[in-house]
Amino acid sequence: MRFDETFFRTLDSLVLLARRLQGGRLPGERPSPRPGSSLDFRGFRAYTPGDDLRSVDWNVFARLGRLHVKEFAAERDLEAHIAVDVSASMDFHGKRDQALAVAAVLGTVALSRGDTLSWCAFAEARLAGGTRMRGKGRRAELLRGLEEAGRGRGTALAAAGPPAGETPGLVVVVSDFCGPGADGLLRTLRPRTGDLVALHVVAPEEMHPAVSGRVRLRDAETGGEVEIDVDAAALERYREALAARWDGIRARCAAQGLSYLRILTSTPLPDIVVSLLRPGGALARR
Amino acid sequence: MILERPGFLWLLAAAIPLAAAFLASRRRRRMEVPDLEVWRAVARAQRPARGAAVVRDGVSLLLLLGALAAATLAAASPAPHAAPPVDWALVFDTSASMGASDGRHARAVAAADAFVRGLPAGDRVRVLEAGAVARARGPWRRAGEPLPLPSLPDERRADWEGALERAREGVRPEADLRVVAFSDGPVPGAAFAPAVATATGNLAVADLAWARPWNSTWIDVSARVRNCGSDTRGATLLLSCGSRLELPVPPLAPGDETTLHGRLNAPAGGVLAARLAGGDALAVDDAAFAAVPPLRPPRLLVVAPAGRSPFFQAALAALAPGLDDASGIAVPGPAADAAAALADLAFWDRTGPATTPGTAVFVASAAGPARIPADVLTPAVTGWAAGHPLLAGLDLSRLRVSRARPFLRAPDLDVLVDSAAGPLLVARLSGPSPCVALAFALEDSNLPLLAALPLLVRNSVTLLTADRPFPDLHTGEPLLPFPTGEWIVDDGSGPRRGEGPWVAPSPGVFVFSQGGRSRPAAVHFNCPDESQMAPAPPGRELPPHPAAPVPPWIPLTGVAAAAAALEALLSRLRRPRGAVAPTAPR
Repeated sequence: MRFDETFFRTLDSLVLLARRLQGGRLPGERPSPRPGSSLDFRGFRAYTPGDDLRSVDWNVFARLGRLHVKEFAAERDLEAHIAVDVSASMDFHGKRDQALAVAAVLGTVALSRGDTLSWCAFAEARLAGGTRMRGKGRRAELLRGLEEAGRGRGTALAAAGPPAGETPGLVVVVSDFCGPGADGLLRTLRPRTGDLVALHVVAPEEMHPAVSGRVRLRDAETGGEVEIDVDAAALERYREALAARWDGIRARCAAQGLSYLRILTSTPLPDIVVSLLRPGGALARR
Repeated sequence: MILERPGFLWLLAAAIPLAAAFLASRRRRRMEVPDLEVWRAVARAQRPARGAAVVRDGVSLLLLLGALAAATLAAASPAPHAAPPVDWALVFDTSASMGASDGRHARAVAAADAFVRGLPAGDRVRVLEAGAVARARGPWRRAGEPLPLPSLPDERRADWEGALERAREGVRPEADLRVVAFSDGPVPGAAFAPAVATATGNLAVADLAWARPWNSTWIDVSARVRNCGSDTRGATLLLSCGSRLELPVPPLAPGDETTLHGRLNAPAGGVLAARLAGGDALAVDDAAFAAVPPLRPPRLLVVAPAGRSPFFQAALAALAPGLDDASGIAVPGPAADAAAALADLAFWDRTGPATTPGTAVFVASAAGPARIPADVLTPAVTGWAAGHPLLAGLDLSRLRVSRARPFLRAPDLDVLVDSAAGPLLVARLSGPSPCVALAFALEDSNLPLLAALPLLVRNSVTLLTADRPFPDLHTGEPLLPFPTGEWIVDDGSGPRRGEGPWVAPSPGVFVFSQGGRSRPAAVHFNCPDESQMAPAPPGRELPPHPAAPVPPWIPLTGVAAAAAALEALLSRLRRPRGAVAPTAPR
């Protein structure tokens, strides 16, 4: 997976968008809800023994007669986790490639911004991934890792989560949300205090499947089968059901306050970046 | 139901690949999809329709197999029934009555032809003829093949027993034999005998006789006509022999007969024909024939010791001038023998020839028929044949003989005057040496004193010197014209050579010749049984051929086509409408 320099420069101008304040472990450039030493004034609180006397606001003491200390917001990095679905359902119509490309874009942006990044390619198990990557120097490692991500069959919830002990402030799930575990995927991966962005990768061919006649359809992930006679009416019902399913995913994200973005496999990557910059997306300009 | 081409049943084996191909075509293509849940929702909506599709598939398979079975059965040519085949013996009556003018023979042939054309293909037919002898016209033939026409009927009887016996020859073991008789009379043993006769009026010439008075150019003719029909009928009888004469036949009631007499001038002789004019049912019995020799003065020779035979000389003088000029008397010796060989009749009075005698009258001659070894004195006459033509006009009841040497009885001798010691007067009118012989000298009897002697001499001359035709024949009867050698027969249409017995083919006069000798033979039909024109007996008509059933292969082919068409329709209904062409999912 290779991005040219122009595209890298474009990505350098972007930042992962976290709608909530997150506090990473390492200092960074993002405001944190924790008190820190940045220039952003956060508020006052009553003095408690042990506080640094340099933070006591003597003007307040003069007016109120009680000791208060001034607190400033801390600037931490963003700990982001990108989960890419490489299950068998993603092998259709270029969804897998598009998902890995989007993950590469987001990861590159995160590493360029100095955020801490973990990623995984998951199916029925965690097939590939990296932990606590930081800095532009890890971009090549990220891109290579995504390029070499394998292929799996099913979709396992546990395999998509961040590494143990990690509490990412932003989780990005790039998936087609197909398979029996897809519905629980969002609920499981949503961080307690962070954001989750669901990037729904779909292919236009899914709306117009090349299926006709008497067929026995087999689920690429579960191996389940169903017999069906596909005619125009069946195709119409299929399209209606598929649209309803996609809309249902969007509705569930909205209900849970999650960001949702549908990504078409036919959309060029730069256009996807543009769409990710829109409200509700996962990117923002610096 | 039988199958004419059972080999086609092997086509049923195609049911296995056909069913396999059908099931293969009904097998669903396997395709992999990323998310089956959406398709499951579609399938749930389709479930009732899929149940109907399963039923349609089953019906389609049954229709295909049914179409195959029907087409196979049609190709195997099923026959509608397994009844055994029938061998039909068509026996035609070729007796003369079938040749009646009402066309019964043609009607029988037409009925047989129509009957044969409707027979099933498995049946066979054979034509037999019941004539004087039963005979088959060719072998058994399959129904539909051209049949030989029966002979034209002209025979004197129909041998039904023989025909039925011949009909059984060559019948297939598995076939039923049925006899169809085409006759104008009742036929025993025939299953079917359609009535073919319609005409019933018929007159027949039952008999024809003629006689030429001594040295006369005229002949007296008598013809007997019988009504053999079933209605009263008259006609005209035409007599011809050089001259012609018409005699009216009075109306005759059925079974009655009449004898008509006439006189014809026939010095040259020829064929005497009696024909009924007016037409009736049967033509073959309307004519009778006889051969009349020409009037010719006979050459007579009397041979007697010392050239003296006053009684015979007187009797011959009474016959003049009807005798040949060379007639005369001679003394025994080689010259007399030579002269006797050239004469039509020789009178050997108390003497005999040294060589084999020709036609002769022997009087107390050792050359005649064999006699007892010793003379008998005054043999008593015990009887005489008053009806014999030699004794016509004679009365020998007062014949007395003082000395005689009677003859030994022999089968070829007609005894004209008999005595206790043996025949005194005998005659042999047939055979190579016809003769009349007296067992006594004229001087030893009172025969010269009776008026009988001149008549006896004339009768002897008349009978022994005339051309001797064969006895009258009836059609179909055999005749041996000459004991040995080849002969030539002329029936008016030209000479034909033959040898051995000859069978009279039809009424008429036939002249046989051999080595310069010729003898005519008159043939009559004269068969009362065949001339009898009775109303037709009730016919046992042929069963009508059942209406030709529709060959089973036609409805079977229709069933196969309908099943195939219905299956094609179901296939169209089964095919998804508006489906896109399948492509690879990736």
